Amino acid sequence: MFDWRKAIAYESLTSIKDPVVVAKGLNANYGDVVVVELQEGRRRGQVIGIHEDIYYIQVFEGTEGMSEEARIRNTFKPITIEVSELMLGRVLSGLGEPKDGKPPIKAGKEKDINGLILSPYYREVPHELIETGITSIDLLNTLVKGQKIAMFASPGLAVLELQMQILEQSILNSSKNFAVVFAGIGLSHDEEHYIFEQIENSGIGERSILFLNSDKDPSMEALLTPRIALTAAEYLAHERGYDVLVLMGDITNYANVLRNLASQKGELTVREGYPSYLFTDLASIYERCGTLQGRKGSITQMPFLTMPNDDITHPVPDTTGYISEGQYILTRDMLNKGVNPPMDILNSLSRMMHFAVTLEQDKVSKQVYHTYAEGKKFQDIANMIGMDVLDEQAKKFVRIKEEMDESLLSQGKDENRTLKQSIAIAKEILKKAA
Amino acid sequence: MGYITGIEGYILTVKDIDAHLYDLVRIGDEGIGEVISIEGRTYFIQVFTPVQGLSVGEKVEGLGEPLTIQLGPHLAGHFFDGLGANLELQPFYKPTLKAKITKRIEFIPKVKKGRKINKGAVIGEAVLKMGKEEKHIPVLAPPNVFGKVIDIKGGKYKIDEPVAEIGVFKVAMSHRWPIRKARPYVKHAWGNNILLTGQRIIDAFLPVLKGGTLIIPGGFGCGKTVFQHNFAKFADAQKKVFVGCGERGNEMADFIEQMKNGGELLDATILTNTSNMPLVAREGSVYAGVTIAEYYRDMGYSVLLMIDSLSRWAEAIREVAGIMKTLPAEAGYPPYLQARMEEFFSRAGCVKTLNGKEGCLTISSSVSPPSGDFSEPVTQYAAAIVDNAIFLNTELAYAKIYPAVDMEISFSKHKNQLANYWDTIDKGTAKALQQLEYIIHKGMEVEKIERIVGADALSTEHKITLRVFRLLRNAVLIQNAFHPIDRYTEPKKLAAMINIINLYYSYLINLFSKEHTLSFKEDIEEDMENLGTMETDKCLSKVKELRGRLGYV
Repeated sequence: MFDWRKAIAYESLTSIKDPVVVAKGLNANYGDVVVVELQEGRRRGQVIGIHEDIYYIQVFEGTEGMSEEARIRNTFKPITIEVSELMLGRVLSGLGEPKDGKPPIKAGKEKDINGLILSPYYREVPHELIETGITSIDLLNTLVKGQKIAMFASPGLAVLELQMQILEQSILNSSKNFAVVFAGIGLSHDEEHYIFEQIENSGIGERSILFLNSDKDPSMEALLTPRIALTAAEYLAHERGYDVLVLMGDITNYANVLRNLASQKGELTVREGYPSYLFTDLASIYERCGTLQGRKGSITQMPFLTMPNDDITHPVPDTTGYISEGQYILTRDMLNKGVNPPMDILNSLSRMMHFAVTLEQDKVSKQVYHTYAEGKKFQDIANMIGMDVLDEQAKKFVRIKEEMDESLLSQGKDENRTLKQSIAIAKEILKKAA
Repeated sequence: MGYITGIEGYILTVKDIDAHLYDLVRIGDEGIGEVISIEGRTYFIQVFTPVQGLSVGEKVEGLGEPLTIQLGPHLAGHFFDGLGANLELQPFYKPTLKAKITKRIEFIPKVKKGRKINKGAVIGEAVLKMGKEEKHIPVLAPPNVFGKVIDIKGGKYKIDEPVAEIGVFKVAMSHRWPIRKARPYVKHAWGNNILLTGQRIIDAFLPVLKGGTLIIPGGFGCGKTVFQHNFAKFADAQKKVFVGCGERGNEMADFIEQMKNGGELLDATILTNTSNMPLVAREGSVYAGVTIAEYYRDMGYSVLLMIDSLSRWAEAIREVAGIMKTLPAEAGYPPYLQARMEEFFSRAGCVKTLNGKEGCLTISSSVSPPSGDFSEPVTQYAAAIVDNAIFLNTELAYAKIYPAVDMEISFSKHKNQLANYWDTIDKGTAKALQQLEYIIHKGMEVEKIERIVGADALSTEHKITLRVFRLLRNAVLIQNAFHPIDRYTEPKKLAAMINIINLYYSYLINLFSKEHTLSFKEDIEEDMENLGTMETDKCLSKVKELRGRLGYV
């Protein structure tokens, strides 16, 4: 973590405009972490602008209750985190501090949270599937090792439950060192409670790290949580040879903090108040995945975000869609139809799927898609003018589609289906279509 | 020597530096930036390297030259970042301006000692090798070098070692050229050739001129990447330059893999600046790409430059403008965006080169409009400039119509000019194309009417138009990018497909006007829909057979 002893220069503030404060003569570098000393304790910030001897500092814990008497000192360090294999099995805060009552993690390696950039030349084309135990993912929109697929959800769906299920169930057959890193961004009290309950009931196992940023934490911390989680993941993947699945969200919470900061800084905003660099900023998170040729270890990402007002063209899902290699779309509509997980498979997509699946799976999944789309088409007609107008063939498609909703696309919260089982269920239903 | 007085984002303010606009500067020991604005004694620098860790007072030194890229035989078949640094050196990327090419390349002189040569002349050939493949490409004297050849010697050289002495100049196989400055040529030439792409909907209805400009706008999920990769792979240009500007790392990896396996790698140069690589270099990568493309053009080649995507370039300009507090025009973009875009696309064209050859540079670029909304500024500015626009429509993609080209708004300004080409393939094709194009537009209209009044209420002419339109869509416009044969259609085959469908249309119209009957030939239609997946020879004989079955010999 931050080394307080190295901080030396003390300066006082000249102005405060939440969450940015201005100090004079700090003698800091761009990007340095600074400490703001208040009577009731310390807060951390980062130098985000310098103009001659004036320093602009973004305070992560917020500027509430600050006065110009606050003193500020420099640590001469960028934001770093200590990473180690000992993090596995731990529950940490959004900044990487213990949240599970166990002692802090020591003796780690210190890493800049801005992470690494993989040379596209050395990237391996993703080609191996990760089984999540969820049929609508594994069979129909396969998650491929080294890629990123975002999950877009209507507001108010129980996405966290699905994520916890994926966290527990996921496996990569070829890998002995499979790890899951979870980064919760802006979690509500209830959500945190749910996570802790899950941990107690099932034990998250030795293979996971949970970073929990709560909506009660100072909002700026949300900007650090995904980067801290990915830094841990990168260490495990590229230095320790783990295959890491990173689950994180809600990215819409993250983007809203970014928007807030931009507006406080008086920056140019372009779409619905989001800053012009939303794309670059999100890309700097989502692109931190992949596999390098000839090396062990990989990072696969499944970020999750809420579509405000169910709108997929909202800047956050839209921008994400341009970076992510496909999307899982979860809708209230599907939930209302009794499908759980409520994935709208017709609008979901895995761009890298064809690299990773067997011929058999390819055939079965295409047949499911075809049959399901036909059934949906006739169902829509029936919904408008009644089932009676449909001929026998059309009625059969509708029945099969409904059966798919019920027994193929739906599964229990604790039901871990292997890909084999999913294929078998699909084949059984498809037989009736023949 | 100057020093930093302020830092914000990727922009530095610097005082007391000796530099011109667009000059490169060195920041501290390793940092690199470019002067983008000067106000009095204050210089604004955009930084290509990480800004983190810089502080006020850090020394900044003008390098006395603008941002350049090294042009030479080392570019063929290799992979670079947006500013020309080799990406093949280390798995974790670090920005640098050095190309770091150490391998030696064989040089064969093509001019004799004592001869006088002009600027841009071919002085020899470089031997390129990759696996078993071997190719020779010209080595040009730089555009500012001329005089008597005092010394020239064949052999194996590093790319920056002199191979000749010409006049007062020492000339290596490579030379540097500023990326923001168009390379000189004698004069513009009138381009009159079609750039075949093997993509039926383009070659037939939206033909591309060699030396022309093209955009492919489309929202996410409309199959843009796949369409572009196929376009890139099959376009009949002699040299291809790709710029991955702000796009996905894994997709670039897939593209690189395809190029490696495609066997045409020696004719390609690939620059990639994925979305997580430095923003400012993303802006520069487009210029680096077009400079490399011009360099190949100057050798007398037909060159295709592909940018993916122009929107990311525009966004990089917008971000820098935002930090500079430039008053925004539309959607936050600075007012000068359109002018920059015009300047960039104007580097396309066919020219008579300095060495008397004809070279053509075609520029193609994807556009990624937010929310797939084509009314946004980048799409609109670009569409106002280019010769071709191929709009991809998300709704068509959802309906599994690939390529999801929206024929209602896509355009090619060179359609009439290039129509003659089709008559040289098969006489009468140009007329057939004209007829079928009418059917496409009419067919889309009738399809809308049908949705309202139902199929039975349509007039017979409309029924025929709609039927042929749908046949045309299934047989010609839809093309499977993953099918080994269907993915590429050569002109002979395409002309045959066009002509047989047009013949079928005439057949239906004749039948109706003479006998007042309407009878669609379902078996023939089905055969026509399968033509795309047949090899050219088989397709041609099948078409002959179909003509017979329709009663034409």
